[in-house]
Amino acid sequence: MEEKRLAKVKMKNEYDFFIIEKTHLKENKIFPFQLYVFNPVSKTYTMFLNGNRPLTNELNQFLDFLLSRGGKIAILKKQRRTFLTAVNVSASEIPSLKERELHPLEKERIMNLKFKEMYDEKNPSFSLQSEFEKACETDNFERIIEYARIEILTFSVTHSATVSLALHIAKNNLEKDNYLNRIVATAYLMAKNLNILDPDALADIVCGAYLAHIGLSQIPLGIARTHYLGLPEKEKSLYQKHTILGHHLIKKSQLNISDRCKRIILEHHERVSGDGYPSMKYNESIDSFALIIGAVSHLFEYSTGRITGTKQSMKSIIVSMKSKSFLPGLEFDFGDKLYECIITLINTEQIEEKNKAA
Amino acid sequence: MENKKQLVIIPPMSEALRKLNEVLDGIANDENIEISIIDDLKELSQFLATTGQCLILVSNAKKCATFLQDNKATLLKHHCKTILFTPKEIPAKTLIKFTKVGLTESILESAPPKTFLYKVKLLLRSIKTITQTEEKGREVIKSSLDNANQPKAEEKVITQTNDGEASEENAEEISYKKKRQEGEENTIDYGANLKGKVKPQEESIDTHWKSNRKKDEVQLEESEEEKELEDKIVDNNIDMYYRNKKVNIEMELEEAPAQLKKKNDDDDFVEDAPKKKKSNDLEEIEELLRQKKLSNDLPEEDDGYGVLGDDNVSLDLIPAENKKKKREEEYTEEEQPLAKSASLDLVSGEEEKKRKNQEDAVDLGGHYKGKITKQEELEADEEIALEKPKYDNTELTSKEKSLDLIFEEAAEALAKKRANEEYVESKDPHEGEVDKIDTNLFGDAGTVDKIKTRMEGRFQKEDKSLPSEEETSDAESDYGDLYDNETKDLAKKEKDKHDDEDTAPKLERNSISLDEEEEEKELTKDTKLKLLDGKDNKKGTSEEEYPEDKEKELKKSSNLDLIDGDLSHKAKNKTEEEEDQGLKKLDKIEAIGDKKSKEKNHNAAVDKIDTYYRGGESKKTNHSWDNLVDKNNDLDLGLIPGAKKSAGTLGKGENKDLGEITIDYKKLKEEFDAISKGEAIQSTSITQKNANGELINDEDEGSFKVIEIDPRSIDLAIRIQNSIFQKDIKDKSMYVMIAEELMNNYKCQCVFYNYKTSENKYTEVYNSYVDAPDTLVTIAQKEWWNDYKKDTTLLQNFQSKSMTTWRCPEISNNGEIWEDVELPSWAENELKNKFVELIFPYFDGLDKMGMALVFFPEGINPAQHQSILMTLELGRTLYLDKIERYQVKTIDPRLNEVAQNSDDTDVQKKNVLGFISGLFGRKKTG
Repeated sequence: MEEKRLAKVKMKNEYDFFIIEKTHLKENKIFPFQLYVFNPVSKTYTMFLNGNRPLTNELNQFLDFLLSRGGKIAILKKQRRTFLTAVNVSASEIPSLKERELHPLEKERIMNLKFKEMYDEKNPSFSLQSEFEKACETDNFERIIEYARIEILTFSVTHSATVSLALHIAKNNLEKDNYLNRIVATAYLMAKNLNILDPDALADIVCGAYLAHIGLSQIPLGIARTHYLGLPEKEKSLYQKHTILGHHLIKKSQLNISDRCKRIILEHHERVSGDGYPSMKYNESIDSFALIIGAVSHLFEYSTGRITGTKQSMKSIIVSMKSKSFLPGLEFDFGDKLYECIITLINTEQIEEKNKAA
Repeated sequence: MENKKQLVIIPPMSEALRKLNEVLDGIANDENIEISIIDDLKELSQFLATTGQCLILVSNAKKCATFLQDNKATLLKHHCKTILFTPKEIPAKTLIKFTKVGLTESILESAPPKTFLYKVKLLLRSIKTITQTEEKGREVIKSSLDNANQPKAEEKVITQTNDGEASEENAEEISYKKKRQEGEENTIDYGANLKGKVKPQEESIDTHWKSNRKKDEVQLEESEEEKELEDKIVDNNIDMYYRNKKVNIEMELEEAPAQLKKKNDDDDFVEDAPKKKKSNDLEEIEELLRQKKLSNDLPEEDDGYGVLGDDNVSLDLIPAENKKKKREEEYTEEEQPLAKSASLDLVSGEEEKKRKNQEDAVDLGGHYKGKITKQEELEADEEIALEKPKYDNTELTSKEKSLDLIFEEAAEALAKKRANEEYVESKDPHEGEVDKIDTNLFGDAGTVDKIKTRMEGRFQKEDKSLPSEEETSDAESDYGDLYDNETKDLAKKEKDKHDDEDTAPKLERNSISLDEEEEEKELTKDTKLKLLDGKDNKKGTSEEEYPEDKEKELKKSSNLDLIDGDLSHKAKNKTEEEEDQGLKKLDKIEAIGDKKSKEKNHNAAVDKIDTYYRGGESKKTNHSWDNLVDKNNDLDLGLIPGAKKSAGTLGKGENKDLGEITIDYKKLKEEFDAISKGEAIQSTSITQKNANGELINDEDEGSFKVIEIDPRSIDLAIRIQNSIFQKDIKDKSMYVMIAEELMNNYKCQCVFYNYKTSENKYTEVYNSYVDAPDTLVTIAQKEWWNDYKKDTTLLQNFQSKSMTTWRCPEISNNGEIWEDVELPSWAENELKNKFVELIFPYFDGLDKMGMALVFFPEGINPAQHQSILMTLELGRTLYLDKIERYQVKTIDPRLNEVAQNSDDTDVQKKNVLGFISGLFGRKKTG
């Protein structure tokens, strides 16, 4: 079984660039530095012209068009000197090169970015599968949680409210090895394994995973704490209301959070087969992130006995899932892709072989 | 079935398909598509039955397979197209199976989105809608089949000149005018990119063909030598095959836009090909072939008449006699071959016969016959002017009558085929196959998807003995070509040369560097060859491009007609031919020169293409869906013309400029286009939001603002969740959590009361004045509380509240108490600095569960009121747990203990549980 490596994408962030005006380029047609264009909406930098390439009339027109739409010309900070000498401008003329007081959160982020780099150097390879397996064996998810935390802490503080919220929550909560943190860290890393790399999406996953079960605070504690299969029908339906109640609570609190995140909270118990709740949604109509969080939390719910009342090892659950054996309360209708992802979380081949031999 | 083209998408949709769907949604109106998403296969089959022809997109292979199997018959009946999007390349065998059950195409999801859209559009264009054909029929036919039928018109005119001499001049005049007009129309029809270049192309292509024919003649004369030569050619054909592959790609990408209009009707024909390829049985294929011919030729004929009726009004003016004669000709089609052979015989005896045989065989290939004979005979006609009418007749009939001829010809061809097969096999076992594939590629160029051709290519490479399916699959278009290797090889060779050169720029555009040689060639001949090749390919690609060929012919003939008199236009024609031949020779010389090197290279080149599309090069380049939208814009919307133009042109040229780094300007452009529209609003709304609620740190540059959020006690919510998950955490500690959150973040003190319905009494469950650590509560506060709690009337008043209410002694100085009103809100600015008492009752429906009394000695920050409410709401689980009807009676009695443990403090609950367990116990003992 192939071990999926977590995609490590080193993206250029806002600290790598400074903004210039077009007039700074003067009438030059060829520049020894690269020109980037900053998109104010997506807050991304895209290379516009490579170094020593001519700024043709067409490109020039196009650049004007981009600038007219609110784009900005950006230069890599490491090419600062090249730029200044090439266009013969002093640094003081470029306002964006002036040193500015960084927001405390920005400072923190820069530190976190450095820390992340150091961490990656120390731990060059991190594979969710092997780590997850180890964690399940030792019942210690600290490493996974730590890894997720360090990564989430590098989220941009300027991207969107949900990203900032994810950052905030992770900073304050994603530390201890507890049930919720296990779900969050695993869901986050699994999403990355599924090649979800957009910070907004990842933030949705983090916030969604944390808040998915907030509705449990709106149902009787006894019911919330009782294993699901042990509940009588009436109580079961009351338990199922935690999705709606959680969604409602978040809406009522007017928390600035993405709609997708709210949807995750509402739909994390929906299953592709349509057997889920509260809306018995079906296939694509379910938010895929809700499925991810639903799947991961189901794994942990099942293993901790929150469904059957008896604890079970993660390995055996995954083996059962893989063989699609219909254990009471075990669900695997998370969509093919996610199902694949889950059953490969742990290398179960050995166990299966043993079982066969037995 | 309105005049909308039906497009069906079967969920689940993959990412790529979803995006494609979005894009298609955007262009649905402009493209006249109706998109339906149908999940249920049953529903889909019903839908199919009612809608008829449609295009189906699937991204789930399993579903696709079941769907295809279930609806095989319907799909075939309606000529429905199915495209399967797959993340991975489908193994050859599976793909063959798929195609057997009716899959039209399989597209890799990693393929550039442009390709998806192109394919979908291509297939969509091939879909007929009833109303379209009815309403627009005339026009469409005019533009698309005009060209095809033009020769007919011409022939008719000429027959008129022969048969009805009286009307000769008139008819000719009219036809000249007509042709002139049509010629103009046609040039316009070609679209902007071909404009102006049409004429030379046509000429060159026509002569191009002609020259081949000449060569063939020579070859036929030197039959023995020629065989050897042929062997070489055949060998080369293998190479050519690969090139053809490129041609196909090229074709699809470049030629299509111009053709699409014309293809409209003819596409069906081509599209059918892959479907019909499925049967293994050769005889079945023959049958199919005949059927197909029947079915396809019929409409064409009809169309032709439509055109005649509509377009060539002049012809209607022609005396009825002529028409009758024409009809007669059609009816007495069997005589036509004779006439043809008669004319041919005039040229050169036995060889000509041989050739004729070949031509007959070619007939099966479709329009080749007409063209080739025409060209040959044009040459022949240089000597014998009288022949022209005959020739024209033959051509006319060869096209118009094909319906009836098919059987004869097919039979004839088959017989010959068998004979030839032996012959061919004796020469070179692979020769035929190569040709087959060649022709197959030609035949399907527009529609056969890259994957398929690639797979075939691989087969060809790895396994010379083709699988039977493939062989038979190609048989359809092979009949003709199998036998005229000699005649076509050279043509192909040339084409291939061009194609190779043509693909070169394409490759380069894809940032695969080719050999310098090719680049040079490209430089010298790029534009011209591209067009040339395009045309050639189209010729090669059989029926699909048939109208264009016709058009060319027409053009040519119109040219001829424009110059008065037969001889003069022949002369002109000849000069043109000579010129073109010269050109071609030049091309050929260059091409042949390059060929040696290319032969070495091309395999590598093919590999490059192969790996490019298969491997991931294509993935590496920034394929963006934005491009598609951009393209759409280009096509339909015409947004900001100047900017778009620049963007568009840049997009193309840039790749060349930048070498290894590809900058997707189109994407950039699209992004910024979006800014002006929807997303600009989004951005403003963000700023508005920021201005409203969130504390935003205004940085300079305006590029990045740190977004600070108000967590609204989310951290507490998470802690509460954690305590719910941890069964050993007691209620009290959860109250403490909430109280501490309130004390720490909102600087308030709180008292939680629990209400016991049975006793109709409030009891304190948590009091921060008493229970909180000294760090959070001052002694003064404690004292204050001790005094305050003595005011029982006030407390009772609070306890009677059913809504969140507040009391501010400063405002209600006169003993006035707001009764169950929230207005003015307790979170008003007014209360910012005043001592406020907040009453937060907990109700479940009508059941009173308790309340929280919160004291804000320093006032309430209105910005925080939501957070305070949220914090208090989080205690609901504790209150709910006290309600009797919510006492958990687990199915498994063991677990009652858990429920018991969860609440030791609640005596009432204990009693109930005890009662239940007692019941169980008694039952057990009983």
